[in-house]
This record gives sequence, structure tokens and C-alpha cells, in this order.
Amino acid sequence: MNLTVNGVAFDVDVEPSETLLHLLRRVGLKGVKNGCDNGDCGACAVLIDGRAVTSCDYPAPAAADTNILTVEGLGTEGELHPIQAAFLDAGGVQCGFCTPGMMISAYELLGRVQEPSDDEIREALRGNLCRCTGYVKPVEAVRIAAARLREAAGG
Amino acid sequence: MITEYIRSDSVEEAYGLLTSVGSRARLMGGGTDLSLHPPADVDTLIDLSGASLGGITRDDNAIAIGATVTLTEMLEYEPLATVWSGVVHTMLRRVASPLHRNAASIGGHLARGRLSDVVPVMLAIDASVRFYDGAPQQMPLGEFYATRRNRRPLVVTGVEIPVDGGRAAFRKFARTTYDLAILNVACGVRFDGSVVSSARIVVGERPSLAVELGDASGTLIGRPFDEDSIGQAARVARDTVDVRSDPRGSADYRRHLTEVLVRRCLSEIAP
Amino acid sequence: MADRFVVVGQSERRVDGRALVTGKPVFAGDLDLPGMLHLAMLGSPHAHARITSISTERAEALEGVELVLTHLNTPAVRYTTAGQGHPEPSPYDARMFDPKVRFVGDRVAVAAATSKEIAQRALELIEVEYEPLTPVLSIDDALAEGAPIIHDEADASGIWDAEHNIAGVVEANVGDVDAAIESAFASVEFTGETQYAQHVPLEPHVSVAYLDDNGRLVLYTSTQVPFHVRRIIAHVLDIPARQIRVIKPRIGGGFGVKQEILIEDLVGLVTYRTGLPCKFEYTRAEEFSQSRTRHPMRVSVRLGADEDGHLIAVDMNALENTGAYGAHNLTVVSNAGSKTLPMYNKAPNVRFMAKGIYTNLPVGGAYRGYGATQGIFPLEVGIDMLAEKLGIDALELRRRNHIRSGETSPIFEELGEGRKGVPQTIGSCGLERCIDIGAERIGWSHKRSTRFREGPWVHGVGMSIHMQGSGIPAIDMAAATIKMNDDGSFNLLVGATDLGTGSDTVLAQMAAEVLGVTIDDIIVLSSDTDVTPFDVGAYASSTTYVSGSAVVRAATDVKSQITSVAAAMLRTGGDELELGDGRVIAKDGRSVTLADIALRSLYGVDQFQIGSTASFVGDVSPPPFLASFAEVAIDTETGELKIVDYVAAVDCGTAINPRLAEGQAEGALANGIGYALMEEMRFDKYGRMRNPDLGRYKIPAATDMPPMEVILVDTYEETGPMGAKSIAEIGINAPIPTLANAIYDAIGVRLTHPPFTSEKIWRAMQG
Repeated sequence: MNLTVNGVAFDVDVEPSETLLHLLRRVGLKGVKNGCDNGDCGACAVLIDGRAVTSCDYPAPAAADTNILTVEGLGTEGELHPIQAAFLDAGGVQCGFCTPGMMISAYELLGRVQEPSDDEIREALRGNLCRCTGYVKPVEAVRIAAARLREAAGG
Repeated sequence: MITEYIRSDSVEEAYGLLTSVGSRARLMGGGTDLSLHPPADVDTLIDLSGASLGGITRDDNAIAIGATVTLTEMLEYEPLATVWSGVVHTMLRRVASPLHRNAASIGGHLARGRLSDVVPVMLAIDASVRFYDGAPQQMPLGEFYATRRNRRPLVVTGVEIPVDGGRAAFRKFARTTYDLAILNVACGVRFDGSVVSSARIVVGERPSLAVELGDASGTLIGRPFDEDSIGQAARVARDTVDVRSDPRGSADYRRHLTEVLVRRCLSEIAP
Repeated sequence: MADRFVVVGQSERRVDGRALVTGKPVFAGDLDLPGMLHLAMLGSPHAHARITSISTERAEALEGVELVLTHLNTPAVRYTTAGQGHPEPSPYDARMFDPKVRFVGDRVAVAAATSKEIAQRALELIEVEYEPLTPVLSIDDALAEGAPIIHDEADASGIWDAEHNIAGVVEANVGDVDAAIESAFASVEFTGETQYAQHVPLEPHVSVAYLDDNGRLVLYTSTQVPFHVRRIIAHVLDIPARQIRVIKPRIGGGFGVKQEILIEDLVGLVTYRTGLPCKFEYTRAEEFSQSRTRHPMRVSVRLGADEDGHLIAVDMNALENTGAYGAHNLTVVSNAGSKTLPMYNKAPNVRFMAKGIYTNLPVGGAYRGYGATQGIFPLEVGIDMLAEKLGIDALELRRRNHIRSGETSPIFEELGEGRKGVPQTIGSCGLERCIDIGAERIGWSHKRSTRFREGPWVHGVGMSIHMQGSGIPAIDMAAATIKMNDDGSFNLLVGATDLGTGSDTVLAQMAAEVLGVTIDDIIVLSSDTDVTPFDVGAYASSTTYVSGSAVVRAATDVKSQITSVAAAMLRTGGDELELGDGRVIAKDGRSVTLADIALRSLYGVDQFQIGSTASFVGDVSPPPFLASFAEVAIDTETGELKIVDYVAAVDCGTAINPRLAEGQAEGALANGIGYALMEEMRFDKYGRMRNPDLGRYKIPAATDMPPMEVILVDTYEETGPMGAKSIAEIGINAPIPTLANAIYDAIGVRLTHPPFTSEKIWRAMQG
């Protein structure tokens, strides 16, 4: 089947039983993490056609002809995406295992809401479980990223 | 383990596959409705995302939502923020997480019935379910479950919400903000002046499938809507609701919560 | 304090952060090697049974299966899985595979195959017969007359009394508590029982093994204790330690669960026997019930005081459920007393009695807080009860009794890590200020005892005070190596283990401070047993204090080498020179860059490698202190509890990196809130865990968190590197006692069994 991941076209064979998480990791996208095997923790979140979903319970065949964004597609080698930079600056990364999934959820939020309240940020991150941070600095990171994106857009 | 994945682009074809494969087949709405643990013997997935079951339309009398519409798409549909006191949006914000809402479809919730905040609200606001079982059907959602029609092979194609000035409220009581409910309650009421013309009091996560408490709803009909009638309806609800214990809560507690949540829901609905 | 230092005290960005936010494959599970085998584990379906026969023939015959391990073909060596220093203070009661199984999920067999799916299918082909034995599923059952003996093997050692299921016993006694309480003006008693909970690191246990080009075994594993892994694997697999290399990559959280040698033996043996690389990763369900857990504990506290509210007696009795094996049992239960009782140091009569008890349930291990979490609950509730009885404000009672700078407690010497401890006098102590600041912030004086009502909601405030430690004195050693490079940068090689805590960054800041450079000039390499010097690993809140002290020593020595080269270059006395901004500067303003010094010392004149290795063992373990305050609102109709406000004031000595320090405290408090309100592992009557997934075992999500503030209170610990102590664990101990006390303030009931769910609160209100 065909799909596009981070702007790159893929033509892959998949098993009916394969999950999207498994497919993405085997084509080398190790930033997508398996935390719970069950769709509960959000560590495996990716964007499919602009929507953040858990990939560990998403059948790979269902991703045919879709456009997928993972953490590897957020910035470039030379330049971090404002969300990535904000997570670093705010101390929102500790072990980093939940971070890719969190940033994907934040990416969808900030694409739709330019000035989210803290409550809106927390709700957007609700499906991304974290055991290290208590969510304090990740929420701050998203707030900072939102401000920087607004500034860059000239508002 | 899934051994066959089939993308179907027509409801008739999907139904045909469903009946020929039987209980080993599971329909999916284009996202995944599998995140609440399907049985181990499901080996065939029938993907309905190409079967033109998406989209939300409205006319003067109703809002029609296609089966593969996701909970997020419903949350982004403006009219649902106002009809029936905006209860659909109030409820959706309490469901799981955006990651889940982006993938879960209304059709999946209605077909499953249990483990849902969506179903009690749909029951309370008099929704009708549309489905295909060899011919296109439509029936009130309550009847769909009461007659166990939902257990038979069929393809849910959509849901229709009447728009007629009814008011509603929803309460979800859970252990955490990211959990299934210990109990959820949805109430829908229509008024004729200051008197109640119709009412539905629905309790879900009992832990069984949501059900309308007819005796309790009945006490409200034809009367003014005030603290006394609300109190009485809540007590009847507590006394008639069927509850069990499970890891999330005991039967006693659920019974107690029924009175509190029904009373609070009804109190929120004021003409 | 920040103006005392240049780099230390700054909230620098993590040195390893970029790889993490760009999703680089830096975790053990991200490593794939050609020909790699995958492991799957068969766990016992019985809580207590003997394996009467096991046949792996059909499994081995399955295409793709390379090897199947059982008790028939693996070493019979007894050891402890606990990642502790040698000799480990835990019983040697475990075997790789045992013909007896002691909890649901205990190892029966492991299959290694070309894919995980094939390995799992192989497990289904293994034929096992069990003789089920009566399971022991509670402390009370384990201690009952005639209870089945869980560890009846002949070759275990270090078990206190196997016949009675007692893994370990520790006691300490000062004075005569019974007489003191008898004669006390006021006395109280409270028993609290903490529940089974799990660390839930987002990354489950995962290990990779491979043979390097010289046939040495390399373990690339998610561990907090690489050096203990090497030693214990050498012992278990009978491979010389020199043939083993352990590398810790990035870890997706540990919190103590990875202070354990849990699966490295399996990947090690499979690779050693097959010659092929292999990987084993726990599923989330396995991580729950087959790794390690919090030790549930029933702890009873009695307190006696005179009429001025001075404590005269503190009596603590702890019964610990250590599960099926005794790893960490003695040291955790010791810490229930050693990290709590000294806080009330002036009571002349103190007694501590504790036992670790075996049951046929999942195994307790190291978990942030390490016994202090369980012990402080009844102690801090007891103090509140005593305050009420005496008619004294709960803050005031604590102020009259808590330990202060310059004071000591007999408990420091009486209770250590399962044996005698080390006497110490408190140096820095900001507890008084923590209490004052926290009380002011929460609004204690106008909110306490008011039971303010808002509709069905009634409000209350509660608090608790805490101490922990900074490393294990006289036992834990850390070392650091620093060497200088051509361009004036330095490699910092530390055994210390960053499990996401940011220790690589903190240690780099300390080195940079001494050497007068920025952290960009320090390149950290950590936790590789071939390359980095020894470190016990990340536990006991030791990294900043113990590993940091080693870093400072090494850096100080390197600084003096640099200075001597600079003195030759500048033709001046060494004592006239200062380091700063990447230079060495003389009093008269002349300077040389570190690059100049490096080039000269490597290539020029009197060449030598500027560098040093230094070690550190602490004489003392200076406690961080914390005062925790919460305002709660309880819905009196449903029992629902909302935390309205949460404040924790922490004295960690100098905060080397304030943002990372706050992050540690915030995460620990969040975990503690989960433990207080929503987390519990549930078991059925057969000893099977009923909720081994993240849908049914609840940890706090972003929307569960209350408004929370962590306030770092400034102190300077003279024995600590740049005045630092520690902060990693202490926060997790606070929420249970703070919230228990707040609930009492609101509705007048004392809950004894966390998690404090809405149903429990509702039932308690019914009376």
C-alpha cells in the first residue's frame, strides 16, 4: 500500500494484523513509542491527515493513502520546530519517552487554536500520560510555543 | 489476530460481508473503535470509511450525523453547541481524550452501546438510529437497545437528533478526568409552557448499557418543573435503577449517585 | 545563592534534550541488529505451585525458534535481583528459573525466536504440569499458624525466618517507649495501610544483548544500576565480569523499578548461548505484575507528649508485604523508620520494629521514597491527632518538635540500610522556612478548621513535613573522570545514571563551574562500564550529592593541572591565577585560553594529558526537607475530592539547575497524588492482577493535576558539592499524609487506606 510519512512517499507491504505503530517503527521511525500496547497512554501518537491518533491500535492497512506526521517530521536537522524548542526551553522534557506523542497532540491543538488557555492545553494533552513531569512544564512549553508561533505569524 | 482487512465502499457490500463472515468480523469507522478490547476471535476488519457514511446535515427538524463521523467532528460542528442546551458538546468534552475522539466514530459508540458517554445523551435527546440489515431502517435508539436489535448483524449508518427546543443536561461521575464513568446521567426535557410535555431520564455505566428510567421520567410529565418534582423524580430514579458492583464502584454507591446526579441534571434544566 | 556561582544555579537546557525532542533512536528498544532474536516469557498461572514436569520439545521444533530456557537448562545459582552494592542486604532467594513458582507471572520459561510473534507461539507449545499449592495472599495469611512456607528451598540464604515467611527483621530501640506513653500527658495511635502500586515508567523494562567483535557480552539495557548489573550477571551466568560490558542508553523513566537486575540475565544467556543478538521488552501487563512494585505496608504509630506538646515517645511498627521474593525488603522497611523518625529527634524514647513478610504476590522493589512514603503517613497523621488532642495548632506542634540545624537524632546511628546506620548532625535545614512559606501561601491561618462551605462542597487544609537523605553514607561510592581536549573542551565520564532526571546536565554544570567554562564545553558520557568509572547508580537520591562530589573533586584536580600549565606559560605563580570564561587570567590581566593550554599540554612542551579521576563516599547523608500543604474541597453528597491548591516548599540545598530541580519535585508530587487518590493494583482470590493496563490502573493525566506550586527554599549544605543536597525522592511522600490531614480538616474523618477514592470518602461520611 501507499502512504506518505513526513512528506516522503512509501510503498510497503503490510500484514492485516499489523498496527500503524509497528509499521512506522520498522521503516525506521523510532521516535514513535510503544508505552502500553493498548491505546491508553498516547506515547505512540502520530498525526494522520491532520488528526492526532494513537498508532498502536490503528490498523496499518487503514492508513493507506494517508498523510502522516511523526516527531521526526516536526522540525528539520538544522532547525527545531517551535514546539520542540519550547519543550527544551521550558524543561518540559525529562526522560523524553512521552515527549514525541505530547508534541504531536500539541501540534494539532496549535494548528487549530492560536491562543489556548491552560485548561485547553491540558485537555489537548489529556491522552498523553507522563510519569516524570507532573505536566507542569509541558503545559508551560505549549503555552510558550503558542506565543512564539503567534509572534512568528505577526500577531 | 486480524487476518483479513477489507475496505468496503458500500453499505450493502459491508452488510453482505458481515453476514457471510459472522461474529469473526468487526466493522470499523475509519478510525478505530477497537481501543476498548474487541474479543480475541475477531479476525476480519471491514473498514467503512469509503462507504460515504461521513458528514453532518441539518434541516429545520433534525440533525443527521453519518456513522463514520468522529467524535471530534461532532465537537467541531457548531449547531450541536446550542441544540438541546449544548449537551452533546458538554458530554463530548468529558469523553476520553482528543486522541480517542479523533478516531472514535458515533456509529461505533451506538453499535457497542456500553462503555459510552455518548449513548446516554443520545437516548435522552430522543435520537433515532439509522441502520441497514438488508434494507434501510430507522428506529428510536431506546427501542434499538430494548429489543436487542443492536445484537443482530447490521451496519449502523447514522443517527438523527430531533431539533425542537428540548433542553438537556449531562453529568459524568468518574474516578479521574480520563476514565470511564462510575455512573453517567443524561436528562432531556421538553416543555409546553411551564409544564413538562416529555422527559427522558437516562442512567449509564450502571455498569450495564444505558437505560431510560421510565418510572422516574413519568413523574415529571404534565407537571410544573420545580424543586419538588425534580426531587421526586430523582428519588424514583434511585429506587428503580438497576445497578451492580464492579471495580469502578459498588452497587450501593451507584444507587446513591443516581439520586444526586439525576437531581443535579434536572436542576440544571430550567425553562 | 545564585550570585555565588556562574553556571551552577542556572536553569540550563538539558544536554541530551535535542535527541529526545527530535525522536532520535536513543532508547534500548530502538536498537535493531541483524539476526536479532526476540524473547517472550511464559509466566506462572498459579500464585504458588511446583512445576512437576516441563517439556519444550515442540516449542523448540517450531520454525524460527532458536532456544527455550527453563529451570532444566539454566544456572541454579541463588541471588538477589536487587541492584544494591556488594554484599547486597537482600536475601539470595531467587533463581533464573525455579522449579517452584511463587506468584502469578513468576518465570516458567522464555523462548527466543526470530520474531516476537514466533516466540509467543512457541510459548503455547510448551507443556507444563503444575502441582498447585495453597497461595498466601496477605501478610496476615503469611503470618498465620500453619501458613504454607513460600521459601522452603534448601539453598536460599539471608532469609530471616523462612519457616514463618519472614524475609527480614529490623529493630531499633532508644529508652522505654511503653513506659513513656503510659505516663504521657497525651498519647495517640494511628495505623495506616498503603497499597500495592506500580511505578509505571512510560518505557517498560527493555534489554538488548549482543557479542562484540571480541566475543564479549554487551548488555545495552534500560537500567539505573549498570555496575551492579555487570557484577550480578557475572555471578548468575558464571561469566567473568571482564567479559561483560553494560551500557545504559536513554531510559524512559525508572523511579526505582529499574534498580533491579530483572531481565538482563535472560538476554545475556540467550546471546551467550546462541551467539546472536537478542532483545526482550516487557509488555505493559508484564511490567505491572512481573517487574517490581511499591511494598504495601501496614504501619502503626503511637505518640506520647507532655502537656507543652513536646514529644516524649515515638513508637513505629511496620509490617511490609515484600511479595514473592525479598529484594529490597529489609532496606525499604528500614527506611520507613530511618527517613521519618529523625525528624522528631527530641523524643527521648523511640522504638522501631519492622518485618518484611513474604506473600505469593508481585514482588516489591525500590520505588521513589523507598519506605519513607509508607512510614511518614501514620506519623504525620499521628502528629495532627496529637495536636488536636492537646488543643495546639498542627503547625505549632511540628515547630516545637522538628529537627533543626546542629541537632542530631539517635536514629541516624541506630537505623541504616537494614543494619546500623551512621551518626550525623544536621547541617543545612530550611524546614522552618519551608513551613512558614508554605503556610503563608496556602492561607493556613484563615483556612484551617473553618470548614468553609460552597454549596455541597466543604473545604479543608492539611499539611505534612518530610525529610529524606542524599545517598547512602559510608557505603555508596561514585567516581568521575575528566579529560581535556585540544579545543579547551572536556570529556566528563561518569558512571552516574541519568534516567531522565537530568543528572548528565547537573553534573556538567558542576564541572563547568569549577573549570570556568560553559556547559557546552563539557561533553558528558555516562553509564558505560568499559569507559566510565564506577558509580553505584541512580538511587537513594545520590547523584547530585555523591556523584556530584566526585565530579567536583575531579574538576578541582584538573583545575590545578591547568593552573600549573598556565603558570608556566604566563611565568607567574599558580596562586595568582583564576579560571573563568574559558581562560586562565593572571592578577595583572594577562591570560591564556584553555585551548592554548590544551595545545601546549598535548603537543607542545612537557606534554601530558590533563585529566583526573576522583572518587567520593559520603560520611553523612544530609536530608532535604519539605513542607507540603493542600487545600481540598469535598462534595458532601458524593465524596468527590478536588485539590483546590497544592504547595510544596523544598529545601534541597543549592539547586544546581532550578528548573530541573522543580521538575523533579513536580513529578514526584504528581506521582504521590496518584498514589493518594487513584492508584492501586487489584488482585482476585487466586492472586491474579485484575487491572494490568493503563485504562484500568489510573495514573494522573494532565487534567487530573491540581494548581500546584513548588517553591525552592535556599540553603547551603557545607558537606555538599556547591552546597547541594538532593530532591529526587522526597516529593512523592507528601500527598498521602497531607491529603489525609486535609480530608480530616474538611469532614472530620481519618482515612487509613489510600487511595482515598470518592467512594471511600462517601462511606466514611456515612459513619
